Amino acid sequence: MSTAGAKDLACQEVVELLTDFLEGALDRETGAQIEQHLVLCPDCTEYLRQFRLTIGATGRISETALPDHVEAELLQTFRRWRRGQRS
Amino acid sequence: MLSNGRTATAGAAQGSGDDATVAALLAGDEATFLALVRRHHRAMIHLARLHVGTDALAEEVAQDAWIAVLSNLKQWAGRGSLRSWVYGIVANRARSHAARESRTVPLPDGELPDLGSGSCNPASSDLWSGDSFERREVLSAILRAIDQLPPWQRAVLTMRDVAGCDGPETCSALELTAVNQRILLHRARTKVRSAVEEYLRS
Repeated sequence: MSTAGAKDLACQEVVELLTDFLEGALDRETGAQIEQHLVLCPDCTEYLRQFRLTIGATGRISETALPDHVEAELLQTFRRWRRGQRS
Repeated sequence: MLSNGRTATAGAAQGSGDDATVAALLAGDEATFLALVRRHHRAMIHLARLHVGTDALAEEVAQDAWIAVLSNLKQWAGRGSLRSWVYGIVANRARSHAARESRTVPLPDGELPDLGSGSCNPASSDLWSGDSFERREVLSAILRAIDQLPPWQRAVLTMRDVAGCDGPETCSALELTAVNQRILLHRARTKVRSAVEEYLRS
């Protein structure tokens, strides 16, 4: 495999492939090309960092409360079911 | 390490996690139920919304699904992941609704091709530093961005990145190929990153 032109992948292509890259869905050669590109390209490295930060922040939504009326209704459902369980 | 930070051993951990969750629910633990609901309810609504005609109906399907989950909890018996079971209930109910209304569900194809997605703009790195990400407003910005996503991208993103479902579970619940699921996920994440940047600039 040639070591020349590790920036053979254009930045636009790299950005397009990031989810596949993070999923481990790329073939070995393409994955290696991306890694080499990232080593040489601070812009794409920064973009990947922002991409990961976004994914992480999105995950934290799962810990935030739902709208009040939604949670109220769901808790009522739970309590009703629980009463039925205990009787 | 998988893209959402979970490791490959998450599967094994999830099994025993599921047992503990079900045990806590059967013991009547409200905090466990609330945590479960906060993690999954949004994704359940967005999944239902692919099948039914209105937001209100989607909310109704999701609420009914939780009732079904609780009522049938003892029947779950550890077959497959709890998540898959829950989303299966939602998908079935949503499909029944759609069938009753003789509704044809729009296909994801319209959301797959994309003209001009992300680009690496190095000038923004300062915006993304510091404690910006600890602020609640960032999450609000993300929620707004998610709500504006086209329906299939929204459903995939909430299942994967909010609820923490894995690729196969998401493909199964949404009846998507792995490739299409990744394309939709990528489109959605790209838009959300853009929206976050817009928020950080403001």
